[in-house]
Amino acid sequence: MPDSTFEARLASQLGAYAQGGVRPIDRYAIAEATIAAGSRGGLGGRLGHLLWPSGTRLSPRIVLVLFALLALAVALWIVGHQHPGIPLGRIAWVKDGDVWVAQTDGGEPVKLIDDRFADFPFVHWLPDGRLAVARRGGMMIVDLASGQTRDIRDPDLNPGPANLTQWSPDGSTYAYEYGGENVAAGIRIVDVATGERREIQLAAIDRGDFVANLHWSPDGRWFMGTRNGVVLIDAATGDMRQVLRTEFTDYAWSPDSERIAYSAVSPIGARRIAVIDRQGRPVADMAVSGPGPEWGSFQNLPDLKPAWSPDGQWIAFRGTPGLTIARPDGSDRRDLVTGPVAWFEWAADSSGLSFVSTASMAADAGELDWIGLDGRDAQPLGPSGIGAYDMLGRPASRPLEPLPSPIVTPGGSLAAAEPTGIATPAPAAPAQPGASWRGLAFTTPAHDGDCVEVNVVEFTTQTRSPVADADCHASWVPPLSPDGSHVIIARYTEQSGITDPQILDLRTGARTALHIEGLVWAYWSPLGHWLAYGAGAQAGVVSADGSRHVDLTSTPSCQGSACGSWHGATWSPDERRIVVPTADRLLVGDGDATGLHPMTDPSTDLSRGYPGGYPWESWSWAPGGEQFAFERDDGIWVADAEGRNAHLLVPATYGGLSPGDWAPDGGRLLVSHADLSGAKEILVYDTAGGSMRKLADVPADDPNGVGSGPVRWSPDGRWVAIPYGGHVDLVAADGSRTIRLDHATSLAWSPDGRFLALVWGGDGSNGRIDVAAADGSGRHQVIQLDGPVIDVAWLPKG
Amino acid sequence: MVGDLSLATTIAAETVADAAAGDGAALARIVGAYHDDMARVAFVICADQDLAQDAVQAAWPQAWRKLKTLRDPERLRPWLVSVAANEARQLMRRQRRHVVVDLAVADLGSVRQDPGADPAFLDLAVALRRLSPEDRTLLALRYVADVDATEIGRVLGMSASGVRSRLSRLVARLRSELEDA
Repeated sequence: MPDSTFEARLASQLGAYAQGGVRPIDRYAIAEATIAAGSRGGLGGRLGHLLWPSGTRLSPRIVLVLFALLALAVALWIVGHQHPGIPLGRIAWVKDGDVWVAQTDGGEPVKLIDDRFADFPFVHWLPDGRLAVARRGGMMIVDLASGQTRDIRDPDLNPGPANLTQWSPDGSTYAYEYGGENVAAGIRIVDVATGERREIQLAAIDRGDFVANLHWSPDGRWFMGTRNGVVLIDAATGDMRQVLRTEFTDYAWSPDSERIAYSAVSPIGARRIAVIDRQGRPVADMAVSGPGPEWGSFQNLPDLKPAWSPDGQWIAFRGTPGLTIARPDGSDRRDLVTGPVAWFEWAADSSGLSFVSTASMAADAGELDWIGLDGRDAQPLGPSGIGAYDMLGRPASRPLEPLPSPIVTPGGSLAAAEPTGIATPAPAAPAQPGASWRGLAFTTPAHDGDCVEVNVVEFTTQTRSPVADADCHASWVPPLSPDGSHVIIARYTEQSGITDPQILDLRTGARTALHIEGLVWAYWSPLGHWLAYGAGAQAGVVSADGSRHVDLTSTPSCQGSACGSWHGATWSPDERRIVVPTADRLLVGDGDATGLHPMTDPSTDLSRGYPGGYPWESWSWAPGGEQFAFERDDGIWVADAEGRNAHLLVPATYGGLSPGDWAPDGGRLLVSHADLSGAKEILVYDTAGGSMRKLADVPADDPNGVGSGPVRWSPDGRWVAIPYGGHVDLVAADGSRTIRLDHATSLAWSPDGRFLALVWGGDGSNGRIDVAAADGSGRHQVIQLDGPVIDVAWLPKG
Repeated sequence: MVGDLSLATTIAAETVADAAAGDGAALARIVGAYHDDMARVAFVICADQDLAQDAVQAAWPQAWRKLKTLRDPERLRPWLVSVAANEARQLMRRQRRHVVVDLAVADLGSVRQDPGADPAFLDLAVALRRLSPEDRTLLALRYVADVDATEIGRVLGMSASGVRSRLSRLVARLRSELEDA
């Protein structure tokens, strides 16, 4: 790293500025809290972190209660049975913000929606077998049979930690309550097929007041809600009347919509289940044994959770502990389970219940079990699957590895990918690129890493030879052109910086002086025909043969200080178009930097997602240069080359989606998504079909890891190379196959797409360059070095 | 060339092993040695003291869970500040969804130095505000935490030469903005 007066001053000022982040700490308290949080596992810490707004602290108890609420998002629906008592069908649940679906015996677990930033997603099976996922800002409908999904954008939808979304019995509409300080209370009903919204005004409610915990009656005619007890609301008119004025904790409609079962706790802790008719007249009242709540404690307050059997013949409820069923009139009471029950659900045919049994009410983990109405046939569901259930979202018996099929991405599209295993390349005869390619150019560090040395290895001799007589090239100038035909050479000294920059044609040996004083940085255009550079206050482009030189900072569009040496030009992949970012806008022009003019279309103010900030940090040109993708906080957008016609390409319910490279055919876009830990998912988005599939997970924070590198398409668009952790995964673009190439930290495709150059320099000392066929087969060593390799490029013949 | 750092602090490999095994006292020694470094880096990225503290708070459990896999205790400090930097960066990305944080300038009062005594200090804060969290991460890791380009590349998923190139551009940009100010 070069030193300079300015850098020294910058480091000093940054160091002083950074002191602003230092606060007095109690290191023992932090250590204790760290071990406690770390022992709880990832979700606790992360969820706690998500729940702690800046500068505020919630008690761990509240966080645990919220954990429990999240766990209670488990939705079970049993659509049949394999043999008496054992339900089949599918189970959906939420874990750590992700939505999972599996067979009820725990088989075939699939992570359906991967959305760690989602705010309490909730799942609900519709009568036709589709799965509805309610999230903040919208509802997603997933048809597991066809793989089709549909997003219903609903900015006001916010299920919150207690899922306040209600579904009509036929699954055609959902509803939620709204209201607040400035909005009169009402119920909003959304048609799933059309997205049409209808609102029922609750005229009897004062502004600022509200009705909570809506429950839609099975016949669709009524809403039940809580406001000073229980109220009944006509779903057509909004007329409301009070049907219960007692304290209660939970309630449920009977299947015929004629009765309501509710649970209640008296002020002295007595618990009971009661049934009333729709007019509020009492039908039954059942005392529930067991201890009442401890004052001031959340721990012993499990809801009794009354639930009608689908045939209306039974009411099931939890005890403290236990699971009990009784007839709606209170007769024929049966204690089916005596131990603690965290969750239960009726089978669709009313033949029994599936439930989560726990060792204690405060236990983290439990099992998913089944029991019939006579208390027999009790058995665990899927001992090898999700039969182990964890209130904190951690599978207790075996990890639930996500399967790649099917996956619904944050954008809401579903791709039916085939399962991808990791394969190693089949043995094959050594790849022989020598017939088409002269060799490889590569750079190695010199002078303690302050400089680089540029070398060539010929395939015929496999010997290393330096390509220039310069002693030391600036290490921060990536010197090799993408096609390996040219290299930037320059001299560097601490006293003088970079001097005498030249472009060397590796094919002919010709040198072209750049005549750039004070060069700071430079990089090549995608095809290697141009070089962008910054020098002092100047930024410019120069052709590889030196024949054209454009000082971008002096173009009329730059208007003085708006352009500076930090603003490098960016070419479209075909080099036909160029974009120059300035301090406050983008200039666009032809690839030779002529015709530059600002993108000024006010209808597509592309910087609005980042007011006062950094509008153009993450963007990617499509191959033809007609459009480019860029990142905003609501997803990945696409605009044409003039900045017009911007539209949302990949919506995200959270930030963190970044556009990567476009496929050579322009029809697919790599997308990366970083999660809370810094781990990344690599996804590929089909711009024509609107679907997206996950190609790979790239872990983060490996303290011994070699790190990850840029993710690139193969020139033929068939493969995506993903370097991380000391290997390169070659993933077929259709997700059908993954080949792992060990001992490789980076990779360079030959421009014809037939061969790979694999660089291994992960341990920092023993660099090696191998070549292989495009699928990794036929790999063999080209050269072994006594130091790391920084960069490699293919050298054409002739 | 770096700012005020606890570079001289060293933690024995046994302490790291003990901390990884759940020894609170050992972990407290590590916290005492490196928490401030993590907070400094996080503050440059977040430009908000509360957010920086949140980031470091979230970083510790993550780091502790992986501590037992750390083979080279020499890398403890750069690794810890990298974890904090990643947390800060992710926190800023999430924060961007809801509100654009009014960076730096409003927080100058929390900085121990008197900003009025050095106008360049205010200029620096304003210049930092114009950078993306990723660029602030680069600057913080390099110039506040003295992490080398290879290590930074591991954190940000870039090559070492890419880190150097981007840093050079950043320095050029800051030089232009600060010297023109």
